[in-house]
Parts: sequence; C-alpha cells; structure tokens
Amino acid sequence: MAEKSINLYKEEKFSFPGQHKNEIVVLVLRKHLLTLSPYALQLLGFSLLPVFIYILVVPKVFPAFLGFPYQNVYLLVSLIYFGFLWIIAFIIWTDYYLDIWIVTDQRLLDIEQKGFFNRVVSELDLKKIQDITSNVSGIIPTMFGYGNIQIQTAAEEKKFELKSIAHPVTARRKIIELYKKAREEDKFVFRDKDE
Amino acid sequence: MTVDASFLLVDFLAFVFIPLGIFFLLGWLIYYHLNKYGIKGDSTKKVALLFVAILFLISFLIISLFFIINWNEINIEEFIENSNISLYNK
Repeated sequence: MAEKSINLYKEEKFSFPGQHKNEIVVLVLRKHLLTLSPYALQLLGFSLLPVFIYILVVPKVFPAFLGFPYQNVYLLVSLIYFGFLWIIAFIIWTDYYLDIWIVTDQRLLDIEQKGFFNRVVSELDLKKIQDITSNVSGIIPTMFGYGNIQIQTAAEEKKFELKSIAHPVTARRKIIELYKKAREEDKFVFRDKDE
Repeated sequence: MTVDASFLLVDFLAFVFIPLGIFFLLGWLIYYHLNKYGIKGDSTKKVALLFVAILFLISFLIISLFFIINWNEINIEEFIENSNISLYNK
C-alpha cells in the first residue's frame, strides 16, 4: 500500500531524459503534497481578495462598481488577476513537480528545479552508498507520514538529502534492497572476470 | 482615429492584449518545462493540459467580457465623482 503511494514503477513505460539502456525506474519520489499547503493557503487568500474588496470596500468607496457597466469592468480586472494567480499557482506546482528523486536499479538521481531556467541534476551510483538514514520528526510529519532521507556516500563526497518525502522508511528499505541487489550483481561480474 | 477609437485601443491593450500576451508566454514556458523534464508515463501531460485548458477558459472569458462591455458608456470622470476616495483622505 505504502509502496503504491510512493510511485513504485516497474513498467518500462516510465522513462526520463538521460535514462541508460536497460535501466529500470524503480522509485519516483517527490516532496509530500502537504509541503505545498503554505502556498495553497496564500493563494486561496489572494484569490478571495477581489470578493472581499467587492463586499467590504466597493460599496463604501466605489459604489459605481455595483452597477452596469462598471460591474463588468470590475469582473474583467478580477479575471485578469485570477489569470495571473493561476499562472503563479502553476509555477509553484511545476517547481514542485519537477523537483524529483528518481531511483533506478543502477543509480539515484536528484533533480532540483529552481525556477524555470535553473536545473541541478546530481547523480549517485547505488553501489557507492555507505549509509542511509530516514528521519521523521515533528507532529505533522508523523501524522501524515513524511520525512527526510539522508544518503552518505564514500569519502567526503556530497551528502544526498531527500527532503519531506512521503513514506521515507519504505523508500529507505527499497533503496537498501536495490543497493544489495546492485552489489550482488557486481560480485557476479567480478567472478565472471576472474574465471 | 477618433477619440473613442483610441480610448478603445488603450483599453484593448490594457485588458486583453498585454495580459493575454503574458499568459501565453508564461503558459507556454510551463507547458514546455513539464513536457521536456517530466517523467514520461507520469500524469505530467494531463496536468499540463489541464493548466492550459483553464488558462484558455480564463482568456476566453476576458475576451468575451471585453466585447460585452459597452466602453462608450464608461466615463472615468463620472466614476471618480461618484466614488468616495475622500473618505480615506480625511
């Protein structure tokens, strides 16, 4: 059940730009939807602003807006405003949606979208994982089941951090499983070479 | 060009052309990014289409409303006279 909610993809139809041949996408991890709630609340507040202005301010300050044709002008300006809000909402959503961690049977990709024109892609070979920690702290993350995963690689290399992802424990287990599988396959390759 | 026609042109630029131009540019940018960098097989395309569809709906409403409004009836001086901005200046 939990695996389903963190998008366990085993079918070949799931692919991403730069995918290797014979590479299978196993996990696609995104931040928990709840991390979008502060933005959602702000946008909701802003979207109600024209309604509040129409109810509270317009009758006192601009009574002309209550009758035709000015009422339509108010509606037109509000629609333009809603259009911009809709675009802002989608810019936030796109940033969330393209901020992604892809775990394949070979590597882990950390794709970070910063605005439209800044995209950082980090890659980690599964075999190089040394330590993996999942961490759920706080009342809300515990209630909704999201938290962080920290992956330490060999030497002093960059630490991978998957922040606010859904079901971090299940994801950690799956990554460990994939790591073990990758190491075993590596051993077989070495044995074949020795023979 | 009569005064009314130039007035209408300014309204058209302010309420339709410039906002819709910005909508189109930003909408295309979002759609492009979702299609280029999204995971194929994921619901990216559906969501991108939903976004574009709603943006088109808003744009359609803006254009319709612009042509519904009888701009000749709008008198800014009369509008300012009828408003109580002075309430806040006291």
